[in-house]
Amino acid sequence: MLWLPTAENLPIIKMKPKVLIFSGYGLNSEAETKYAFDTAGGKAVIVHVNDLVAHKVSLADFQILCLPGGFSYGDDSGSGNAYANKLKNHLWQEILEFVNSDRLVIGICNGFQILANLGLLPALNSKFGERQIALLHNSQARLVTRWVDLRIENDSPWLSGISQISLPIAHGEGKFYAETEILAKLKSRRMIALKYSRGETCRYSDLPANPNGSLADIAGINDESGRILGLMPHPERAQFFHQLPHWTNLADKLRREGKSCPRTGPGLKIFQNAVRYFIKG
Amino acid sequence: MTLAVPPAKWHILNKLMTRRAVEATIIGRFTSSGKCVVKYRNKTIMDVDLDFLHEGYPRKILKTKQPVNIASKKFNLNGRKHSDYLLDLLKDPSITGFEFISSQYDHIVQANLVVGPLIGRGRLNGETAVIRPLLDSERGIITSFGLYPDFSESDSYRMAACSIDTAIRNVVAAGADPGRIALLDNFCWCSPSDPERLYQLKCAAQACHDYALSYQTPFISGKDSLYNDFQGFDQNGRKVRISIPPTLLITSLGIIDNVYSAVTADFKKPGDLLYLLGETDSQTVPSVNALENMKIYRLLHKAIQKRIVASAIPLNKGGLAVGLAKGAMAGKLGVKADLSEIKGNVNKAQTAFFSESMGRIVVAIAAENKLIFENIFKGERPTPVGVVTEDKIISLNYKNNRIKTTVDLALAAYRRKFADY
Repeated sequence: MLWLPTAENLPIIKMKPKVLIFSGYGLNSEAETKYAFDTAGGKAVIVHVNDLVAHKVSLADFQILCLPGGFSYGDDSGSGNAYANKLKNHLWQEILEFVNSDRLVIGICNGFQILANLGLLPALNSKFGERQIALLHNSQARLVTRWVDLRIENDSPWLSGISQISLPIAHGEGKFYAETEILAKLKSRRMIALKYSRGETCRYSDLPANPNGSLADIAGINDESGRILGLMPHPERAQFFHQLPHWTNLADKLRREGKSCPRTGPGLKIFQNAVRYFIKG
Repeated sequence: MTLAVPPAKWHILNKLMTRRAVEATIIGRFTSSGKCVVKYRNKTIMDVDLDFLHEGYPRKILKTKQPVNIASKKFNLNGRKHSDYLLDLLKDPSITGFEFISSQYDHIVQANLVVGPLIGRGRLNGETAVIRPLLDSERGIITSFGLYPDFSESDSYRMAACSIDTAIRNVVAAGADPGRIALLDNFCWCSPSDPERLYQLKCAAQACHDYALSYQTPFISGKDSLYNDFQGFDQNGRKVRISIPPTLLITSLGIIDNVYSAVTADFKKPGDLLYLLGETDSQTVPSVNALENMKIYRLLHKAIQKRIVASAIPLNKGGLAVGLAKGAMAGKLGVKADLSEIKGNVNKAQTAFFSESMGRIVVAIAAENKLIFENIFKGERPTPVGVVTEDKIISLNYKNNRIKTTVDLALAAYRRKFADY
């Protein structure tokens, strides 16, 4: 029988929310994403998609699903396209049941591309399975690795308590695109989650806010419930202080004030938000 | 990928590979026959005694012959002012920025990056990479390299020595423990059947032996590619033979006990004091004094562990002027330096500014740490050379010779060469 945390049973059983991190066919960021969820108080498990298809592991046993970053299928037929087809063809019912319950889903970079191709984001009018937005090749026609600054635009539980955040990107196909009507609905229904903006790291490195030509500077979006988040930037690559592009500069300042460096980075809060969603009760 | 699998474990391995959609095929078995037998479609295409396979090659007797030394390109300002020469150096392919390459590779996957390819506000290409391989530990590794094919024709022994010193010095300046560094060698050479090329190879290998011992840095791996020569005809039908310059890439791998002690080259704060460690001279192909250099490296490591080194710049191509310019460009701060008192065989401005002598590092120290720093280095007499400034001006002088330019001009030169790539 499916066990889900509720207001009644949680205070008694302080269970760590279980996180399933998809793996296989070229996803490559599982280990560090698991580390971030575990540090945040979750209990993350890395599962190869073939084991899910073979029913060795069941989506229903988890509170959080995560599609991490990578180069699944070598970006053949478009980033995240083949992996989305795999999920559509073999796990669709389980996925639908999951997203229709009070649980969380995150797609990071390649994971966001997979969710977009699968039609789990934005899924306007609950049309799960219909492709409504695209992540195109960056305007500069090559992969870009750098830090970006982001403004949070809505109240998704993934982003609670955050108004702005700096995270790194590393992608070749991250240029957000939606047709005019879709974009208008995303705006009016407050489904845009994060936008590129010029903040601390852009000022430090003297780089433009929008790194890839994304429409309306969109870096991440939610579904209508806010419980599914897709974003191109990598929060798990901002979980440690030493990942910040200017950390030696910051550490030097702290040292002169007689202080030591923090050990965590800004990205950890996103994972902590997801864990807290279930522990709050 | 090839694996050796005990027969009893094959079933388990094969099941896992199948679940992961990975093809796995048995292609052979180890036997005690003493032979290597290969079949293709039931036809035996190879049947060779292992002894012969491993030991049966004909022993060649090779002879070396010392070549007539071809002097390195002489340093030549060609009538340029020192300031203009500095800006030209910043456009040199061996020195200039190549951000277009650094930013198009995902160098942040696995969440283990501590110091990446681009340093500071100015996004300068750094000399090292620092990573933290185990997320449960704050220990890290630092890697760098040394490469001087331009020196080979003059003196391939010194060429190898310079490559080794540079590879070691770069990781030490970033925080590696000088007592915990390993090296790798990558020879890219011409035909060893040519007695003069073999002589050069032997000298380089001798230097690898000598300096690995002097620095106590073991070679743990390496590879080589020989016979990089072309023999053919030019467009006029004349026989031509072209060889690559004998090239030795030395890679260093050092250990840093805590990644949060890593030091980057960018200047951090106006008022920081600049010191030059090591001696300068005017040799176009520098010699390497490992024992003297090691003294400096050990003391620098002590200072880094005490967290008093704000910036450290190992001096490589382009010498002191380029090194100081890089610190300023990366930190988007200015530098005011007087090189008139630097130690060594220096009596010309071009030596002070541009000599590429080995074993030298510039460090920036907060003014309040001056006494601690000088105390650590007592006996080695680091030379104060100037100060980090707030204005973005690069001002260096040697006696009455001056280099004066701005950080903005320097960055423009640094980015020019590959701006359209």
